Amino acid sequence: MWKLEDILDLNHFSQSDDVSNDDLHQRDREIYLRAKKNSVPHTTHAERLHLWLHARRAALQKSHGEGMHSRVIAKSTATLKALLFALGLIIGAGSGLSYFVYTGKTPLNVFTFFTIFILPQLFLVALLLGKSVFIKLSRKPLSSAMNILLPLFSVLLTSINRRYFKAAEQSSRESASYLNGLKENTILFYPIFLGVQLFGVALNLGLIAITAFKVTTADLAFGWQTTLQLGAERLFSLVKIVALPWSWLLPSEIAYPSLAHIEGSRIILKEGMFHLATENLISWWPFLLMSLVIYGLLPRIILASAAVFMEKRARYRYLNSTRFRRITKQMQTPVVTTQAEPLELISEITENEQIPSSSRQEEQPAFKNGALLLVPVDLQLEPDSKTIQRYVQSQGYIVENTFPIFQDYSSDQEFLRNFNILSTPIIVAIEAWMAPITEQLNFIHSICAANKNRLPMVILLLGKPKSAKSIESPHQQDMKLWQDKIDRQCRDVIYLTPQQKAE
Amino acid sequence: MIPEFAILGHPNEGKSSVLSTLAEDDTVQISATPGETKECRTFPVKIDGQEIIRFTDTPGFQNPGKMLYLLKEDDGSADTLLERFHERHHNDPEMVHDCELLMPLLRGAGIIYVADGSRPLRNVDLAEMEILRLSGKPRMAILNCKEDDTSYLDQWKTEFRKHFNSSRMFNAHRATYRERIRLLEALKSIEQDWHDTLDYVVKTFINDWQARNNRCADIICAMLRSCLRHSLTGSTDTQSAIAAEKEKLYGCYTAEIKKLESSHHQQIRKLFKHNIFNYQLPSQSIYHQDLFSTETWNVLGLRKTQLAVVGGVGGAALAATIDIAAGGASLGLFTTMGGALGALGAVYGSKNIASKIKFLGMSAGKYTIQVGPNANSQFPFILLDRVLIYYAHIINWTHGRRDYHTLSESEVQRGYSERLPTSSLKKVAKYFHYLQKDLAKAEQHEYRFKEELLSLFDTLSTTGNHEKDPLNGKNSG
Repeated sequence: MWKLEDILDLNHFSQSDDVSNDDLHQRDREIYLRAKKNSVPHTTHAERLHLWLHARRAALQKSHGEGMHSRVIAKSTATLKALLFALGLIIGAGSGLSYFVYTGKTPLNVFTFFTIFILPQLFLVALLLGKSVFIKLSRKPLSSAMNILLPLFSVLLTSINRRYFKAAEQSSRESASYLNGLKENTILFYPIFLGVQLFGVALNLGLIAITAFKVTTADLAFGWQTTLQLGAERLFSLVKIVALPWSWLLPSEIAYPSLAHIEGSRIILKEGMFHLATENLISWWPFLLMSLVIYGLLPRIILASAAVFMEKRARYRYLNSTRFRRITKQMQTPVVTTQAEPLELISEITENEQIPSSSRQEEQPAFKNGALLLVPVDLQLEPDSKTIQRYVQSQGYIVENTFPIFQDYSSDQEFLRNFNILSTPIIVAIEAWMAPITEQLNFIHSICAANKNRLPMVILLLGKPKSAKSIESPHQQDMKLWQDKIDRQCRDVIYLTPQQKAE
Repeated sequence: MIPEFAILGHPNEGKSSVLSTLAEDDTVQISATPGETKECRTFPVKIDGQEIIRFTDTPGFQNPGKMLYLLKEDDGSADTLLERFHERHHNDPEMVHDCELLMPLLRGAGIIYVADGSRPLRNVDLAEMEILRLSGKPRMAILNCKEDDTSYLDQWKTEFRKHFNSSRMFNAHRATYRERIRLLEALKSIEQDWHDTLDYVVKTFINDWQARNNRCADIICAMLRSCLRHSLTGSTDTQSAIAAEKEKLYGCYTAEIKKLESSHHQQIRKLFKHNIFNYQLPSQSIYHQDLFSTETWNVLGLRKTQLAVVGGVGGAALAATIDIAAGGASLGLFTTMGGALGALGAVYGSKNIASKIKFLGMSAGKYTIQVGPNANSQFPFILLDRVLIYYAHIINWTHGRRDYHTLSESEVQRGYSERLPTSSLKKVAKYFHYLQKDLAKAEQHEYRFKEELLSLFDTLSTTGNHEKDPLNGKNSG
């Protein structure tokens, strides 16, 4: 069973949560897992919400070390209800006592009883029902009622703060947060509504008790009088209609006074009351008592029950709103993290970053004859070594031989072992669009290191082939990368890059 | 033992991008310069704080030819081949990266080999694949195409079939959430012992994604609630100062609405773990237009006919009402009348965004001017469209992507709401109506609106918004 303080706390806690905060998921999940581990009931939405509330309260208690405002609000509301009930009893009994004063001179007027105790109550109930129908038809929210009730709650909260929480300003703000988001909700409306109905119930109970007490312990006489030409027969018909709700249940002599009784209880002041028979004068009291029960007490009991029912329904709807569904859903959703420890980022090379162009690229060839062209085995077929050779020759170099490299480690090592006996200049074609890797760089560095005769050396940097039989210029970024890596151990290298597509 | 997957491959093939996208971690070092990853970096997948599986980013192969030669030369037991290699060469400075990348394999990790499928296959690639085959570890290959060239895919696939238990296409820059899940699903097949664990991880990831979408829907609801109910009130003593006061209030109101919208968008960005980089939508996106600009209101939101179907009125993007506080007791009568007339005026032309102001009553006492809450039926649809455009981009912007300056893809130039089916549109419109009129009712209808949102999210999560218009499947642009 959800209590008012639970609802207020739930509202307060959920309002203070930031839905985008990842830590909240972690927190809510931990609450759920803890309960699961300890075999605490956690299968229904309500159970999970209870768990959540309990954990949040405990955490707040731990960090703030004080009770929740909501408990005080709920206690105050309960006290208010009790006070209203007591007040109703006192007013009901008091007004009954003041009415049932019979001195033996004039009987108590039944019409006065109705006018004071029954009709106003019926009028108020009709007004209430009328307003409810109006609200329903106009589809207006209850905000107008809440506009009145919320300031009342705020006043209550302020006084609670002063009384229980030493009136810190912060505390006042915090307590106001309990009501945030409830303005449009009927949750706060029904406790007050119920209090009012309890007042009505108590008032009628007090009145009925006093009526019964007076009837039992005092000598009362009831009669009726009117200036209007209202005959006893017409009054009898009226009485029968009024008694309809209970006349089917009780014997007619108890349910309402008979025509003879009514005729016999008419008060005519000039004639006095000596001619009125006692049995006629006492015939009214069961009818009056039943009128109080049916038209006074019963509507209030129905309204109070409706208030309890509506309050429960409002709470149920509120607790099943998406806000709380999200919380319990979050509790059931495992927390997933996939991130590694944060690292400092290395600034990337942007495209706008210009790399200084190597002057050596534009140098004239240092040799014109007898070069050995080393072509990666991957380029033997596409674009093919002939295309590369043609391109190199178109740049003014004479290629004497072509040799495949990067076929495998042993072949490359074999080549390097024999390199120092070579006496021809070297042209190495490199796929510069691929990332430079250690073993390819080592191969080039080994050639440089073994080039004791300081033979001229050209590095042909190729871009990614776009089609068969074509060679492309590499991106400047790739070129720079290769040049930087090669230049670490090689000197006097001439870099050659296709400037445009060569077929 | 916790299942581990090492991401291996040639330098600069997008290993870190794949991992960044898989782990939704935009802090992974990704550089245009090859060889930036020098050490292994582990990304534990923790569920409720417990490590379930882990991915490890590794440096690229530096000496594949030499490694293969040395491994083949070793005639010892195949089971401890890698251990012996590591033992012999870990002090060799030349082989430092190659020994480092073997570390997760020595721990028993499975292999995810990443290659750029848009480039031709090279001899070094074959050497790398052969090394991995010799390792005897469970392995899968991923083709992460960095460019649009597909002519080399068959070469790669043929070789992958020879060397790997399975292979997949996975574009680290464009992979949607579903593709990430499919990749994880595919990992199940490479090692039977890890099947159940991976199954659990996949289910949890799906759950997590749904939970994030749910939270995103909550954020959108909160944004709509705060934007639609926001109002500002100002007052002036003289009638001549009304215009100036009105202008001032408009300025403040629009600024505050934009701020509210932006802060909620940032929450969505955070929710989808775009933490480090300043995520931006393509420059040509309608999103960059001002929320209250004519272009935004022409492109986004509903058409006139649709507005009629959902029973709303368009018109002024924002209207102000003036109330004369006669001795402080006008009972809001003028405000109500002003609102009603403003709404009536708005019927004439649903795309007209000219601000109107209605002056009502006598010039007695103090003039109170109120701007907002915005009662225009089109306004929430504009907000919705903008947040959906933002969502679509943020979820489809993979964490491995860093080309912030080179966006070229076509942009959806229409809103999403006008393409919703009428039945959905009515539900959405009803929720908006209640948000503007009756918050308690709106709360009751929120779940229906959220259902529509979640269904939209689902569509947008399945199809990356870069290639296709996700709602009708046509190419956008």
